[in-house]
Amino acid sequence: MLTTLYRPSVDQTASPPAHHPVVVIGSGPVGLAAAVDLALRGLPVVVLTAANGYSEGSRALCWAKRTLEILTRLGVGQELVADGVTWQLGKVFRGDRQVYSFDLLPEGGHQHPAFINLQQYAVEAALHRQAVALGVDIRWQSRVSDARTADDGVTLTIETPDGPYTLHAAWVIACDGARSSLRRLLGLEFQGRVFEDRFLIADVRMDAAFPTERWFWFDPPFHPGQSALLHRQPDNVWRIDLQLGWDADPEVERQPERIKPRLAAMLGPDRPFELVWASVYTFQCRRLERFRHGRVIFAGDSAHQVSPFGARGANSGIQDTDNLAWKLAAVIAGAPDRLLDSYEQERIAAADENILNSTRSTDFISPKGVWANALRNAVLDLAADHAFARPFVNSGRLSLPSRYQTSPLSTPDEGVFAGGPPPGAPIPDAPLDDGAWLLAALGSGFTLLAFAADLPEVQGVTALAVAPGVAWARFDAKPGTAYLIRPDGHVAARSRTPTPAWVAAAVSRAMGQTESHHP
Amino acid sequence: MTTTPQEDAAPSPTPSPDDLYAALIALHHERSVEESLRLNARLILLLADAVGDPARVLEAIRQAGEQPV
Ligand SMILES: Cc1cc2nc3c(=O)[nH]c(=O)nc-3n(C[C@H](O)[C@H](O)[C@H](O)COP(=O)(O)OP(=O)(O)OC[C@H]3O[C@@H](n4cnc5c(N)ncnc54)[C@H](O)[C@@H]3O)c2cc1C
Repeated sequence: MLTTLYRPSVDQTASPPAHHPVVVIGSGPVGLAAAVDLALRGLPVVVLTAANGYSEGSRALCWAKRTLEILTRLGVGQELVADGVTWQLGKVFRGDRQVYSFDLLPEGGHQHPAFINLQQYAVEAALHRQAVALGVDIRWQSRVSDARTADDGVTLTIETPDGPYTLHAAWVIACDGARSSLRRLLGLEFQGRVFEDRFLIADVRMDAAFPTERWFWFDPPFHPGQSALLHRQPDNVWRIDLQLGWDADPEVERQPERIKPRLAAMLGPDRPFELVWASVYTFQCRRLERFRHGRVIFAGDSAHQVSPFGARGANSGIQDTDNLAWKLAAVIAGAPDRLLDSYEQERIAAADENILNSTRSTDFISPKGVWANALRNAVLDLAADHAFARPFVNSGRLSLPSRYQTSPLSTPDEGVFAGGPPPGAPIPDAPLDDGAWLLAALGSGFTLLAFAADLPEVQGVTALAVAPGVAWARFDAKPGTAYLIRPDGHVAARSRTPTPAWVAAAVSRAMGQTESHHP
Repeated sequence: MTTTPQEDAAPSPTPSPDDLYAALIALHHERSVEESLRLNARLILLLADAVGDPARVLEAIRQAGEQPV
């Protein structure tokens, strides 16, 4: 029998309706990451979710290095890395011949791997435990059915097993997924491109000694004319993704009698397997025109959707909340409201980057029209023997963090830098001389990385002296160099000749206190 | 067959525009339209590599699309 996680809340009988500073809608990875981040910043958070438990099926599987760094800041990254399987190599086959391979993290000196594979529900479970430990009020089986917006907040109606109630929220973060109710309630369009192709996704349990790598096939002998993808999950479970084509009937293809022979053809007659979960999907690439609507802010799949090739869905959603949480906490504490507009500017640019990459991958995997097909096949024809053709092979460009190149929060360089992360970019990790990691040593607010730079303390900024080592090379540091790092680990400013006045001005700009010079 | 060093070093005659044209026709001899598309796609990729400069390839793409077809 299905247990119910629903517990009545005192708000249900409150009159007038209860008020909360922040309400998060949705308990997917994005909603839970937002809740944990805000709770760590000292805010009382209510999560309203229609769900009665964690996500069904494995869904998001590949968690990127940058996301693991964020999850580590949220207090759950290390346990997830320990539970997941670590990988960094991808191989692409054409037929049964390898035509391309890539290494997503060829250098050492990083705390986290390029990727781990771990089922979405495991990530949700870890974030949920952390949210509960931080006192987040999570309300299951609580579906938001109405939203009335005003200048000072939003009045929400919530359906529960005990009937509806209303509450008032000063701020709402809508993490209610691809079929977002909030989007519909606010009458917002969600436009983009639908891809005319269908894919079968299946999780199977089996004993197999395939290496922990991402394997992708174009036109494999076991599934002619289509593509296939194989990924390892923890506990002897494997993710298999088979392209079916637009003409496939999803109802028919969902049947286990139909799925099993397809998998047997791939895995060979002598490999017993158990089908754990399967689904047939199509996908779209689209986003909201704006992510911020007054006191309602969209994050994750409610704001943008991509194809699965590149693992950019959940990863980019968690990167949204990484960008949003410190800004919302700062605005609630009195920072200018326009700091939140920078969330939208930065994360729309990121969403467009993800959509571009994911669209291009999909156009390669699922070419439309005779010419697109001819060009794709020509690339694969040449890739085996011609090195120049291999980088054209696109089986998914895997999630990388956005570099916020046009961010209004960034201060232009002072002095000349030939390398290192420019303003807006996330900083690279590096080992410190005491065995700690640079990213783990950052403060929860702004951090000033000082490379043999002697600076008096600036209020509200954590100073971190970086001893000579790997970090110096990664930051193109010289004696006297300083980097100002935002609370989300992106560069706000850097200078060869830092002064306290420079630090103060850069902090002020990164807090939205200075008018932007960008259009 | 043996050749003298002089013959080895002799420059091969530069193919004329007519030679190139004929070779491009010959490549597609008795091919279906789809096969031709694929061969041309290979050829374009190989030529793009030979040009070496992606900006020049983009410029050529722009020029090719300039005239109405
Ligand atoms: C087959 C598949 C494979 C994928 N693989 C990857 C991958 O490898 N890597 C990757 O990064 N991404 C992947 N994704 C994408 C990833 O699953 C999504 O991007 C991710 O789940 C988005 O998280 P979210 O929290 O925004 O939304 P969701 O996880 O969809 O959560 C939405 C939440 O909102 C709640 N909700 C909805 N409506 C209401 C309402 N009216 N009131 C209250 N609550 C509501 C739901 O109950 C749910 O808790 C994959 C997706 C699929 C389908």
